[in-house]
Amino acid sequence: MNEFLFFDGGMGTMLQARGLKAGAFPETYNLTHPDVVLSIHKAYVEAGADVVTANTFGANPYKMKGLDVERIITRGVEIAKSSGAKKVALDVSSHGALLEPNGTLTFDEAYQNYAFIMKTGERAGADIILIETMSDLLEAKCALLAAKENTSLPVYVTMTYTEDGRTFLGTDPVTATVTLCSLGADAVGVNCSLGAKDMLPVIRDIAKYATCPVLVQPNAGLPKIKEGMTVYEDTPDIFATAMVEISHIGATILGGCCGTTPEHIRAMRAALQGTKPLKRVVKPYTAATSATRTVFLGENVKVIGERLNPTGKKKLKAALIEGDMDYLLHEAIDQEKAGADILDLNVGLPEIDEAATLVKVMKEVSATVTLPLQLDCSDPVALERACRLYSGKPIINSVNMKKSSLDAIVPIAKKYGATLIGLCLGDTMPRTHEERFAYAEALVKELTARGIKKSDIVIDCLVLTIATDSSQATETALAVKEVTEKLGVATVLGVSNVSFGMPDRLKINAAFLSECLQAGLSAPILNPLVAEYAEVLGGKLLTLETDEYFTFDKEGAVGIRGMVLCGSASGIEDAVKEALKTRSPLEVINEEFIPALDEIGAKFEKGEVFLPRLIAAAEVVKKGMDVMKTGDADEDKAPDVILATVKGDIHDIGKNIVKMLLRSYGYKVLDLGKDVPESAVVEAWQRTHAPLIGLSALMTTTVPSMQSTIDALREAGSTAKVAVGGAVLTEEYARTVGADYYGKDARATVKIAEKVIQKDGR
Amino acid sequence: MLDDIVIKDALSYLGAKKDDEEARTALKKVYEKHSDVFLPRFIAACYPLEDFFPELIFAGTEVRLEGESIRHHFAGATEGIFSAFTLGIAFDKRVRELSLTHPSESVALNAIGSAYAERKADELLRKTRDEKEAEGFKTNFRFCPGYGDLPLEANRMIVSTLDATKKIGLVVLDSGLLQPMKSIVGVNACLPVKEV
Repeated sequence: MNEFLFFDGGMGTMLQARGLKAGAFPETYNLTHPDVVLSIHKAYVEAGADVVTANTFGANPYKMKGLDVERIITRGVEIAKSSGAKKVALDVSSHGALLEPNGTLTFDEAYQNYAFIMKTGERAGADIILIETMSDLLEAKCALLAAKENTSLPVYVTMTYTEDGRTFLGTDPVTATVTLCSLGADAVGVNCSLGAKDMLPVIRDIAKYATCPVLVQPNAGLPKIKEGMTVYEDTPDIFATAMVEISHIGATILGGCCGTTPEHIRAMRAALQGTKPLKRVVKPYTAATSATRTVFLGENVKVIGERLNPTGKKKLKAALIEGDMDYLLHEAIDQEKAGADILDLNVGLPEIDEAATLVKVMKEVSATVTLPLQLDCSDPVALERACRLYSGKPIINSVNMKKSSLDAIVPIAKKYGATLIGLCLGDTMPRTHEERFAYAEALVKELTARGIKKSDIVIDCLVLTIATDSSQATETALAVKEVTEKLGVATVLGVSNVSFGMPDRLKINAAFLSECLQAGLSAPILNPLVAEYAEVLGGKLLTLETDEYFTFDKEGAVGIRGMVLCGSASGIEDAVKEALKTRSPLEVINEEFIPALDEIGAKFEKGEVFLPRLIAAAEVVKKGMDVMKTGDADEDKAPDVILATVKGDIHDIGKNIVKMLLRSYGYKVLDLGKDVPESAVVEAWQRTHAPLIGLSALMTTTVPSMQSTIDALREAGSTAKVAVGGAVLTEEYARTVGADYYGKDARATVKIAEKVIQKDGR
Repeated sequence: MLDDIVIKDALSYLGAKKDDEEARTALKKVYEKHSDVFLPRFIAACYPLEDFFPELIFAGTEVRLEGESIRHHFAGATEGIFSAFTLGIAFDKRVRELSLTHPSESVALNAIGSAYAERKADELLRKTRDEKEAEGFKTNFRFCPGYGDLPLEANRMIVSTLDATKKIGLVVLDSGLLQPMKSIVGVNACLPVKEV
């Protein structure tokens, strides 16, 4: 930008100074006090603001239920336009609710609201869309997409950060900047929360990575509350001095937020009179982001965890088919703890709906670990949906030189700003490093011609097994070296493919990894839990350790029963394996695990041990029972129990404890999660005919959802017994909502299950 | 460091005996390991009580509180302190993560979080109460929506008035529940000393 663009300052605080009550919607003033709103806009124009922001910050159908939001937005923009400002920005912000999976608001509902707001604003004559004061990166992405897809207006997006340099949801400025720029924001930046001086570190981070203009709108200092009013103490001079410093970092669009007044804007303009904006130079970077972390490829070696892929993994395959999220998430957490930087996610199985499963797993994994994801999928429908709902900038794995692949994948990567892996493959299979390099070169040329930035391209030189051609390892490594040196793009490789069909695979893989790292490989795709790789990667990967805080009376941890009673998982796997030499799995369960759980359960009921010890015992049992699981199809039987935390309720800790204890007792549990609508419980029962359904709710306000779920089940002809539990429930209340049983706690629920479900051999 | 009251309360939530030293030590270790996700944020403001019947109305706000319990709480009061506290979403995420990998640690951390939130919210509220008491008021305990017949819906009014979503990241769900999980919203009555 050749000139600064000056925005106005605070609106809400200005309205409060003119009588707006705390907690009232400032936007209703567009209808009730248009003269007051106009006078504020005019004061900003007179103070030198090029752009005034319409009084539409919270005008959202979600927040303003029962009000004519369309009219409020339209009038807001019209009033702003009549102020004589050069440009008017439609002001858009958060719903004031968290999107799934952190909260209960769905992406699609939020998108519909935003699309309505954006279209209304453009129709009313707005020149710019300003999405501001955002804490949730996914919601910011949703709003940005709604603006880009429904209007032709430029879209500016600013996030708000606290003193620790992160948003309330943990997003840092680098991550927000990289993500929003890749999605095509026309300006990015920061507003609110902090005073101008306090924002400097955040602005430096933004300016370093923003590939579009940087917008900064600070508060007039940190807010303080005096006599029921929020006050801001930075004077116009203090504000203006700090804004000059901010301009030196490279911000070119400047304005104010809460507590700033026309005097602040006037002082800022005067201080920057005759100054030209700084020309920033942003070094190209190759990155992937989650909501809270950015990983740059090409700077040091990064590890991409490969364990979330069902190929050759029976247990993971079974978990995907059964919808066992716990297993998948455990795999994700272990990889993060072991030192992976990015997780590859592949859910491709013929038995499942890949689009629905990829999105579901992607959301849950994103909410659980902090690592960026690499979406490993060739189905364009699944990939498009996952990229859209992903909170961050994903990596797409992968596109190749076949026209069908290019046509299907490139538009998705381009639209969602993903980093794209180009696989050295086309109509022929490359065998030599020269053939691989030729594909890499062609991919870079083709992808850039199709609108993908070169820095968003990563090359996979294609690993083929040495089982049929021993030269393949060296040819691949040579290709990596050539691509790195001649094309200057980052590289990835699926390391373990090299040893497919060979004995002693880990040693071969480790040797190949070493060779490729020396050749300049940016990011190996591998299992980060393998010790052989950790050795090659020189301490980058860690061994997982477990703290056993609730292992008491360790000397008593002898034999399976003793280990369960003491909550000591060390050695349980070996003990179970030993027991299985002479007894069947069912005998081990019935003779060891169940009596031990009954004993510790009885102690818990008497108040002799506390809850973590009961759960620690169940953890030991789970670890022991995992030894018996093979992941074979014969285990794919219908569940005994369906569990759900009912609609409107997001507190599922109690339900999770029940799940764990039931599983320890050998019951197969289908966990539908939290905030589960009635229809989902009915559908699960119709599909499985589980004999027992457990529903949980924490608060009195969500107990009615329990009743409606039970009513819906009965209407659908369910013969399942229903047990309910939760903090506010009582035996009597359980009867009132139509339940068959009241589960006071997890132990009581196990007893209910024993009553309802006939188990073979028990 | 966790104070004794927090540990005692957490032990009680978990069904432990008061003198269970091993349990006490285990809880301390769990807290020390996860203290990085205890990120308390707080906001409070005082408003004059404008009307008392049929509902409590506070000057300068849109708040309307109804019910016998809140009227009883404010009997003789002339002002109210609104407050909102949250431990932050990072705590929720850690509890969730642990529920998958170390469930016993997860329930322990959850109980510590509940006890800590109550204690910390009281501690942060103390400053505002001290200020009002220095002005000649007596302040009573923090009364939260959901107590007695004060509906949970009151959470929304108080959060809006304090602008707590924007200022401390606290949101109110359609059901009236607060998010993040360890969040507290409440009102204290300020009673002129001469009238007590």
